[in-house]
Amino acid sequence: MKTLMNLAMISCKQAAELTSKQEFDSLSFGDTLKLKMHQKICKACKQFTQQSKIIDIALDKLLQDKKSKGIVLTTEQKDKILKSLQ
Amino acid sequence: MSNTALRKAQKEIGNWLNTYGNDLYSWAYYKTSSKETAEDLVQETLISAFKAFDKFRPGSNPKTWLLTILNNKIIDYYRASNTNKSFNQSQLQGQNLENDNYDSNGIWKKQEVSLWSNKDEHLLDNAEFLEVLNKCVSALPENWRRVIISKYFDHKKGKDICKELDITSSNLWQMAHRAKLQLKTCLNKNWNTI
Repeated sequence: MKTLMNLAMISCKQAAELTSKQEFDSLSFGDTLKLKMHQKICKACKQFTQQSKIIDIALDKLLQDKKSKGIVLTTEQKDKILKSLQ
Repeated sequence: MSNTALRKAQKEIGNWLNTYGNDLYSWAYYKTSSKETAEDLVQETLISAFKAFDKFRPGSNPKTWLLTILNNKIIDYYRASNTNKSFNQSQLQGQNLENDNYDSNGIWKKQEVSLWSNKDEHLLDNAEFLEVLNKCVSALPENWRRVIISKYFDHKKGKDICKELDITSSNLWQMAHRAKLQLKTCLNKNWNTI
């Protein structure tokens, strides 16, 4: 039983890594279980998960906003580019 | 190309520069975070378009064609700057970051009281908060920043980001994770003190 518990216990570091991995890859059954168990008992990790979500939403907002605004080429820059075509 | 065809191509590329130049420039800027690099990439794109002008099918969308060329230039630029040195550097920074965040047992070190949480429902509408985040993103090591830009600016899928940045899928989530840890640390430091 003790070894089983040891197998199931992961550190906050590993839990946080799994939280991030989850955004790109599906986790194995074992990893999902370990992560869920850890999150149930660890308050510090709960805070990380929440902050990670806030960063997610904020990054999306920030970068999508940038995408819609854009930057502009000056006339000098355009002339320089046109000259390079000759 | 004959002289007439050459002049026709030049004129058309000039028109495209006026119509789509800013879009190409903005795109390249957000992918590389450097206005100089972005300008160079736009220039290279139009030169390539000029040289391959007879391959452009009349009636198809010039912007799509130009963006395809530009994206290839951006990938070349990434590959060229994706040296071993910068990867080792980002590995090293990752190590420091982990030491800052966890103790030797991999348990979170005591957190400073963080003034940003999901209890503040206006936080995400707060322009100052987003500006601090923006600064934190600019301060990320280049590799990590590229991952963040591909994910949140381009909304790219994991496997496409790996292909574009020429990295493995475990490289990808490790970089994304470290970027997030660093952003969290940076926000803790800079948002509280405003």
